[in-house]
Amino acid sequence: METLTKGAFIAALNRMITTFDEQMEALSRMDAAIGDGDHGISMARGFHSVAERLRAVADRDIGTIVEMVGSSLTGVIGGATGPVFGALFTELASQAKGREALDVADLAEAFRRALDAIQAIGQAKVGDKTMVDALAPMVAALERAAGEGVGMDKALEMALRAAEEGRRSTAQMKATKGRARYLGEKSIGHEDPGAASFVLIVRALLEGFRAERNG
Amino acid sequence: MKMKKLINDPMHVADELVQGFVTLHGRDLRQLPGMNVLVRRAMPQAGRVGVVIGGGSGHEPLFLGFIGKGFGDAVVQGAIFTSPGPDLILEAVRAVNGGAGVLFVYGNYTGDNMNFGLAAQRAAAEGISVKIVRVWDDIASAPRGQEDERRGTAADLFVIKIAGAAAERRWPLEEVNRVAVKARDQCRSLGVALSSCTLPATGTPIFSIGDDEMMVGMGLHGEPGVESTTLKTADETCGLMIERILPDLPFRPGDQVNLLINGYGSTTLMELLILARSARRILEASGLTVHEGLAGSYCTSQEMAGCSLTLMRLDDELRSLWDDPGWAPGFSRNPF
Repeated sequence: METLTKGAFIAALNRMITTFDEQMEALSRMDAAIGDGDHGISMARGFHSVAERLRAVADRDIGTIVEMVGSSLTGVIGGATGPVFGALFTELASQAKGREALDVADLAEAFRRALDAIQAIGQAKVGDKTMVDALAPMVAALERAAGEGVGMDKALEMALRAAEEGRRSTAQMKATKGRARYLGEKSIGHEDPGAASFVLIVRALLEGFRAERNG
Repeated sequence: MKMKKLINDPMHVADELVQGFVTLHGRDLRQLPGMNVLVRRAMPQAGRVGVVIGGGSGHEPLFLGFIGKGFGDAVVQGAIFTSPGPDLILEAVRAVNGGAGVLFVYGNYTGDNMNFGLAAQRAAAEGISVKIVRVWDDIASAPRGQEDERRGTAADLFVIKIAGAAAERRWPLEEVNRVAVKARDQCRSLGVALSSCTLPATGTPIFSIGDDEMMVGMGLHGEPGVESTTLKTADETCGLMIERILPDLPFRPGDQVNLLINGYGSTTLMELLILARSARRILEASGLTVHEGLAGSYCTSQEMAGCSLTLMRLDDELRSLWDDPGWAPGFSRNPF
C-alpha cells in the first residue's frame, strides 16, 4: 500500500520552502488587490523559519517534524495567516505523532481535523473567500479517495485538483472575513491569496511524494 | 513610483525599529531576548495587574510608544501591519504577571483577535487570568450597532492610558477591565486620507488617491474608505468628521470630551494644529467642552497623509484616571 513516508514529507517541506520564496511577490500582488499586500512576505517569512529549524528535527517522526512547522508558522508569521496555517500543520502533527508514514485515510482524517480547527479559530465558512474554500473541498476529495481505496498518488492528485478548483471559486466570492471584507463587492474578481497558498502546499505534498517514490 | 525609505533589509524592519527603541529607552524597559517584546523594568509587581498592549508594526509611535508608567507594562510588536504571534504575547504575559492577572488592550482586527485570543487561552492554562479589551473606535468601518466589527485606531491611546492608570492605582483585574471597557465604549474616531501608505517590503503604494481628492474613512492598512470627495480645507474637513462622529455615540451638548487630532504619518504638525483649532470651535459651538486636547502623529500608517479625529466622552471616573500622572515615550503631557 502506498504511503506518504517521512522522506516524502521532508521532500514536500523543502519544496514548500523553495516555492514560498519563489512565489513571494506573486502572492503579495494577489493580496495587494484585496488586502494590504504582504501575504507572500508572511508565508516566506514563516517558511524561512521552518528551513532554519528543519535540520534539527529531520531524524524524528513525522509528528515532531510537522509540529515544528506548525509552531514556526504560528509563532513567526502572526496576523491571521500564522494561526490558520499553523493550525493546519499542528493538526496534521497530532495525527502523525510517532509515525514514520501515513496512508490516505490518515491524511483524510488529519486534514479534516485541520479544517475543523481552522474554522474554530477564524469562524470562516465555505463561501467566505478564505483558504477554507480550498481546504474544505480538498478534505472532501481525500475522504472520497480513502473511501474508494485509491493509491496515494491518485488521492493527492484528487486533493490538488479539488483545492485548485476551490481556489478558483474564490474569485467569484465577496469577502466577509479579514481586511478584504472592507472591499465588499470590489473583492469580487480576485482570487484569495490564502487559498492560493494552500494550493501550493498541496502541490508540494504531491511533488514530494512523487520525488520520494521515484527516488 | 517606488517610495524612498531609509531602511535596511525590508524583512527586518520591525526587529530593527524595536532595537532602535530599546537603544533610546533601555533605562526604563528591557527587551526579552530574541523577541520583539518590551517590558517595563518596574514589572512585575506583586499584586498589581499587568497591561499588555501590541499589534502590527508600522504605526509608530503606536504601540511601543505607549509603554510606560501608567500606560502599557509590556508591548508586543508584530511584523509590519501584522499581529504578533501567540508565543510572544504569552511571553509578555509571563513577564508582567504579578499574580493579579493581565489585561490585553489592542485594536480589533482578525489577526490580532486570533493571536491574542490564543495567548489568553494558553495563559489561562498556566493559571494566569487574562481579560481582553479590543478597541473599536473607527465609525467608518461598520455601522452603528455593529461596534464590535469596527477597526481599532487612534483611540488605542485613550484606552491604554485609562487601563494603565487603573493598573497603577493597583485596582483588581475586574476593575481595570471595567474602566478600560468603559473608556473604549466612550470613544469614536473618523479619518480622512490624502495619500496612500507604502509597505517597506514592496515600496509601492497600497492604493491611489487623485491629486484633488481625499478618502473618508480609510483604514490604517490601506482598507478602502467609505467615500471619495474633493480635497477640502481644514475647517471643512474637521466639520465633516465631527458631523459624523457626534451622532454616532451620540455625544450631546454638555458632554465633556478629550480630543485627539491624529496625523497619519506625513501630515505636518502645522496642519494638525490648524485642525485642532477648527475642532475646538466646532465642538464648543455644539455645546461640548474639551477637557484635554492632543494633536500629533500617535497612530500612523507609514507615510500616509491625512488625519483622524477621536473623541472620548469623560465622566468623573474617566477624567480622574486620565488626569493621573503617567509617562510614556510616545505621550507627553503639557509640562507647564
